Amino acid sequence: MVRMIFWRLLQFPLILGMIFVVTLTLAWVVPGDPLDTDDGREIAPEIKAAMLKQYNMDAGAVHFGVSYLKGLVVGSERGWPDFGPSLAYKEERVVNMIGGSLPVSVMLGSSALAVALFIGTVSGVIGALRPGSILDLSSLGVALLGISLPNFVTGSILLAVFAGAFEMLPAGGWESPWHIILPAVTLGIAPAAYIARLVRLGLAEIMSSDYVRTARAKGLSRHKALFEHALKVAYLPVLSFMGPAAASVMTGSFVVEKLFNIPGMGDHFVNSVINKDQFLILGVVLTFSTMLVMFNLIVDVAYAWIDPRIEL
Amino acid sequence: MFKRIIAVILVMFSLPFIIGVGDPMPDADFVYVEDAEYNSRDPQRMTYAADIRLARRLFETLVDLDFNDLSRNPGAAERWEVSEDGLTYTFYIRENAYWSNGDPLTSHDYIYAWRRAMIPDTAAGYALFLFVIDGAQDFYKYREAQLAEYVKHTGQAGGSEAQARDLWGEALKKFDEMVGVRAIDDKTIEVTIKQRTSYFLDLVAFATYMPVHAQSVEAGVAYNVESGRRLDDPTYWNDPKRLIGNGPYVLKKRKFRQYSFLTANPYYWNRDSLKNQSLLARIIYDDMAMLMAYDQGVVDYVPQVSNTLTYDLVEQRDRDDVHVTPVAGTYIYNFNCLPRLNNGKPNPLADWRVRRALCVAIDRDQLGENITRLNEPPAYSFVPPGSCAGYDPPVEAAPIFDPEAARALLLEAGYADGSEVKGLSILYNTGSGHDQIAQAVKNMWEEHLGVVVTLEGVESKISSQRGRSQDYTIRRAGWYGDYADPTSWLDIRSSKDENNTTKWSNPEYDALLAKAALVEDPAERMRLLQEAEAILLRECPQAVLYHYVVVSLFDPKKVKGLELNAWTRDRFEQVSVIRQGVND
Repeated sequence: MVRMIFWRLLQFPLILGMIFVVTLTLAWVVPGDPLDTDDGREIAPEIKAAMLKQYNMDAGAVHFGVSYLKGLVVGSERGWPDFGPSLAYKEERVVNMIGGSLPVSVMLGSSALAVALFIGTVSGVIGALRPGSILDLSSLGVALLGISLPNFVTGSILLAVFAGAFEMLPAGGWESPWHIILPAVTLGIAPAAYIARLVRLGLAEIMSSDYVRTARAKGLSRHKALFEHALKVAYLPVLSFMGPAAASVMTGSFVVEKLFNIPGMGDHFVNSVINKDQFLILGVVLTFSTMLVMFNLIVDVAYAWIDPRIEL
Repeated sequence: MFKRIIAVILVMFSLPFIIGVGDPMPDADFVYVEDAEYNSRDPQRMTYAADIRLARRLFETLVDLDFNDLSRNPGAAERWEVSEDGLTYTFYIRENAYWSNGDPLTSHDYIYAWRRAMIPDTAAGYALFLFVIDGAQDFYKYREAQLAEYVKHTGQAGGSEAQARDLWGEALKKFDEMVGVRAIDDKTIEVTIKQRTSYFLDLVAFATYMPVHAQSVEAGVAYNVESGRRLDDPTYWNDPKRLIGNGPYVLKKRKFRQYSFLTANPYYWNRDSLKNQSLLARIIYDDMAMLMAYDQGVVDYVPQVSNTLTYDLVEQRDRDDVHVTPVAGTYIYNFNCLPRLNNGKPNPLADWRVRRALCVAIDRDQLGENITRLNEPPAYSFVPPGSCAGYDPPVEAAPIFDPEAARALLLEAGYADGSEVKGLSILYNTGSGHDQIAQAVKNMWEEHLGVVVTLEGVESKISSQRGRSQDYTIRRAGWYGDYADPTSWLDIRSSKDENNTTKWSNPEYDALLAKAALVEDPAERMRLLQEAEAILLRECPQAVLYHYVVVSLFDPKKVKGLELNAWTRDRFEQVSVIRQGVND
């Protein structure tokens, strides 16, 4: 297992390097000039040339990529690691932008995951305990709704009800733990539905498998068989789902962040591309890929921890 | 197992309460909304309108332009003198003008700031505004050459910091020799300009001419050994602890993409006139969230409501908190005027009669009444009427809707039928209602002229890029004035201007602008500019569609002293808000 982790860690730079090259190429070839302002004012050519020079963008993509990598790996006069400046927000460093918004997204994401795990597990277990009951059918129904509804719809409904009509919760912003509830539920409802289905189907199948039947025949109560033996196995697919889900949920959701006015990472993903902010594009993509690779590793390790049959 | 899962979930739930989520916004006397984070707080590098508005709160120019009546008033300078020939300006800085840290404001701070904008190291977007100063552009070129020379000599390996520093030392000496700016003493600046510029004082009132606190800005300067360039520390402008200003407010606290909190500058010379002690700009991206915040009373003022929501608001006419203000900007369609298109085919729009026919076939009243439904004033000039004191645009030269006349013009240009005019397409940036307008104009052209036009909606940056490379036939654009003079519009259609992406070129027009620049008598100058605009309106390198309006929200019973103006340069110093009880 230690050897596996070691090998996976060794692959990291290779994977990230490839992602860097591909992203840089894409960010460089998409049409549009990052230095253009939205109000359509042209910058005098001599000043534009000076700006390009300032950003090391005057001598082509390779030159830019090399200077970017240099800032990333060894740092620059602005410290280490240096993801460069933002082209849209002239006085922000990409490091600070990501450093400021990633914790927000991670916090929101982990709360959303908690919501998803809680609702998903509980309703999945209820459904498996009494298959075919009203509780089971309604939890399946809610799960279906949760998967089908896009989160801007869920979010708007929650906003209208809890912030608008009842004024129980703040409408938006990032100021206190109360501000996290609505966006976390909005963001967590879809994975919750998915988890509920995984848990319910898994449990139903395992509960009717031979070894559980044997255990029951030997006098184990239904509850004990479910919670002590079946749930463990039924949770494996949930775990493999959690890796990518955690990475995507924790790196922010543009829609939910915009709806609830949360200063997270989601906005950077969309606006860095619209602004052609190459430094920021590279920064967020590299951050996201690092997290994705990390979470997948964590999930694989957790797999081995839960199911000793799996060799790594 | 179940217990473990529940334990993990509980830990995750409690995280926000243990670590904490953000922090509450500060309370302020006046709260307003910005729909995006500021792009820059560096007065020399900023180009966005929102940044320029903010800059006026943090820094003060020598001359202060009152955008309500367009009068030029003493700002940080208590008075100024202009020489007989109109070339030398002497500004006298107030004795009681200080920086927000208590340092006296000196002429050197202004010169330091202006010099920053005159070097390629800074890459100031509005450097051209300083190039009216004698020798400024030459100094820029000198520094450019100096840096190129440095790179050539030091090669790939790069030089040393000492070398780069010496280079700057040389440039400083050269600056004193070349550029017509000089500190007579600590409180007096003398500026010599290249040629008579009647709106020079308006430029001096612009953000690029704002002072910066030389000592603290210089403290962050580093030298890049590879290029020899001076690098400011950009984070200085974002840092409430370091940023020093001389304006009515100081930056007290800020959170990226959340808020900027400004409090009254205790050292501001005119601090007694301030009607409030703090401002809070809340940054809210989502249009609906913005309205919700306003309805909940979280914000006092929404300076500009997004286009997607304006119509519904304006329809509620009984609301006295919805304000529609005509502003100094014009919505235009640029025509590519080059003889050939980028694909090598002949360009029908090279003929001014075709362009004018298209302009004449647009029913402008329809646009404001039925498409945008905000009743924007239809445009019959490029310079919005009333935006510049003493200037009446020559609207009589403008194309007026007349399908008959439009067809006659096309016939004159050699097209018996509109369908013979081929290859036209409207390029526009999607969103903000541009799609609907493009569709409407296309329909008008097809109906009245039979000209077949295609529509191309693209991202704004792609539209800009294609505009610059003349990769278009008709392109949507808009133009707001930077300063209250007709040349702020008319200059962009002169042959050499980089904003003239139409590539329209008329020697008579260029000559009139050049002549007007040197004329001393204001009335005569305005007459020449009118003559120039008449040519512009006759030859139609662009179709002027309407003048913009801005829809804003504030309750006049609650927010006192807020005056809206055509330049959207609100003054917040005079604003006071009557807050009602929390339970109200």
